[in-house]
Amino acid sequence: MDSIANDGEPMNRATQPVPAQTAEMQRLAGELHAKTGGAQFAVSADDLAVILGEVSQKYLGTASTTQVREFCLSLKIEELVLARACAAGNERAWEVFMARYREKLYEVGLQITREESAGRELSDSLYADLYGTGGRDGMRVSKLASYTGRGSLEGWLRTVMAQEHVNRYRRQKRLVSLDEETEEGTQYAAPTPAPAPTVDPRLEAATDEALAALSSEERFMLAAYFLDGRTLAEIARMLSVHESTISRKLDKLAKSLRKQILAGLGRRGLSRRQAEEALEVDVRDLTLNLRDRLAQDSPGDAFHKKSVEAPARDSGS
Amino acid sequence: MEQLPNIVRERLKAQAGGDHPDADLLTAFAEQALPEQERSRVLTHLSRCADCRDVVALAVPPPTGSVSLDTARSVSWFQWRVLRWGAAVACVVIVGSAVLWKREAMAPKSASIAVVREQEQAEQQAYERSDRLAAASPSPQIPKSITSATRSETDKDAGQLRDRVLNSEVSPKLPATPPSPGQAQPMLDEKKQVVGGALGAGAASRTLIAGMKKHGAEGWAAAPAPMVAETKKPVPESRAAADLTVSGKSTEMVQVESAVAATAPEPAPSSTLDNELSADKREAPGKAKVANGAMAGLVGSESVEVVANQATRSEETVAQKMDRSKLRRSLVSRWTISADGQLQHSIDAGQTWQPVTVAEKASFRALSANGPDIWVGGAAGLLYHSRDSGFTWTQVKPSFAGTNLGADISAIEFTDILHGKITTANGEVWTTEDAGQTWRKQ
Repeated sequence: MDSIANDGEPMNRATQPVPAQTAEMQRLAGELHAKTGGAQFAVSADDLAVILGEVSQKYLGTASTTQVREFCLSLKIEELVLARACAAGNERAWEVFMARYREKLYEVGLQITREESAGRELSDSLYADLYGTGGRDGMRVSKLASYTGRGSLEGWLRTVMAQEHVNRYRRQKRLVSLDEETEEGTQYAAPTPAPAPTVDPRLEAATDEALAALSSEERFMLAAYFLDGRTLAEIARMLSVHESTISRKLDKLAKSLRKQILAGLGRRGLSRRQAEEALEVDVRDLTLNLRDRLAQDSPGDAFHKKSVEAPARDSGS
Repeated sequence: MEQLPNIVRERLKAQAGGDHPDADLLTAFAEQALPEQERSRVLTHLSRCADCRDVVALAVPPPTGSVSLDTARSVSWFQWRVLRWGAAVACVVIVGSAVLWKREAMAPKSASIAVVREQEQAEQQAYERSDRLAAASPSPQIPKSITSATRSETDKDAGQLRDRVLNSEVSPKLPATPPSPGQAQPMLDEKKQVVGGALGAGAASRTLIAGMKKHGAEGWAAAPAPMVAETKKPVPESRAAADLTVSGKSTEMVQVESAVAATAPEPAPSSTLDNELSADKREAPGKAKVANGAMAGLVGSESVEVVANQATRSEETVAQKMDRSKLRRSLVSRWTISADGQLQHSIDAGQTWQPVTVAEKASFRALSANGPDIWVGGAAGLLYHSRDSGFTWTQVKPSFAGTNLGADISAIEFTDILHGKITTANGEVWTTEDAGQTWRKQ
């Protein structure tokens, strides 16, 4: 699996040269510049216009003036100016940034790693990236330059730190200690994947059909709960809904999926009994294989050391 | 929680995630700051990418210790298991409040009814005592004040009458301050003027006579002194009578006698009804009576002779309370004629009966009670009328076309206070439509 792109280039629109600043963008930047206090960070209205043009070009591409204006007004302009000023090396901006986020970054590192030393190490490494120690071709490139103001700067820092933690874990997970391999043998090495059991293609087709009929949010809830082992409270926080809503929807989804799969199998020529047997047999066959695969590939299990079996982990349902 | 088939897990896992969103989009997704279209795209990726789900899960700030406790506590109040009990408690509270409110709304009514009953009982007891005193009094004639209000309606419903009594339909017409003995003479003079004025101008609604001409509906209210109608009674020495013929028709004569207490000592005002009644009775025999006016009214060819005694009262409050008591008495009184022709009334729903002296040696055979309006008739056309539940009586002598009612009255039937019929032993039927002011013989 590829590492998570911190810059998000693959999904976002291709970065293009900043378009010529229109009069509308200049005027909007002038309005926003007075509110952001960019003058104290040596960020002029023209600089802000350039930043806004870059961000709007990244997410909107070619859009109408109204859309660009609404988009720019939805940005966290003050934090965007601060981040870009820090990326430009403004000392005053760094003072403000450190005063605001230094302690918070340590707290976030501790929350993510759940270990003080690991959390501090993660925070320090992020500081280095934010300051731009790892420059390319001798040029200092700050990670803050990629902040676009879509969300809060604090949330962005948390997300960036979480991405770094996931990447580190994945890199560490795939490594096997040579000493351990020497001393203990090959028991810690990644086992050879067992040959996947043969699955009735009709069952796969019926399952894919039923999953395709779900909304993206429903698939997200199913994956987060049954694959990642997230609790109802965690899923509820991610979707900003109440966990009772998640519980109700999940229960309804599981029942509905079973019915849809059985109905799909029936449409593919299986009787009701045959469809139920195929579903049950498939469960028995896939249980061990799924455990193995989840244990290897699912980062959610490794992060939280939770059981693969979903029902026993959540008491809130 | 419903189990998810493992094939579903496998197929969910097998779905391609595609390109990863950048940290800004994931942050904006976690903070609910994305437009719906972008949110849907990010959700689609998240449903297929376990790594990004982990990032979002880690990026979402967990609730802090104290905040999480508070949040959990506050959230728990909105769980259905709590809300359903809350709803049940709310229903109980609402129903209870409604019941209490209803009881409170009804409480004043019951309290007022209780007060009315207490007043009724007190007044009944007062009248019982007054009647006993009247029976034990050496004077056969106990002056009784005439109520200043006579009812024009034919209310038989005791509830309506009770309401009118409580609403003080009578009391506002009475003078606010009781006249002193020194004020008696000026009031008497005023009375004469009123009577005289009534004769000339016809506005006799404030005089006794005019009040009777107007069917007794009202008109006694302005009389400053209570009056006692005593017929067949020796006229006191000081009484002066004057006969007046109006409009050349001499078939009608009304004699009005007014008595003023000039020399009798005024009893001290008392707060109790018993004392007031006793004082009233004590001063009655010593009152000097002065004829203050007479008038004659003419309606057709009928004639009515009314003889009334007026007695001044020093305490208007006593009269006011008496008026209320009289009307109250009419609500609870029952009337009957004993075997020996004696009029009797009961104030306790017929359990006990007290004799009522209408006139000396009068024997009656017929009775009609219509609220406070009482008619009794006897031999030789003897007919008496009381508008105040028997406190005062007026002898009425019906006449029609020069013929007086002289036969024995066998039946009196009044459908209301205005319309009545008298049947005599010899088959004569006398009818009136104006409370006895005029009569027709059939």
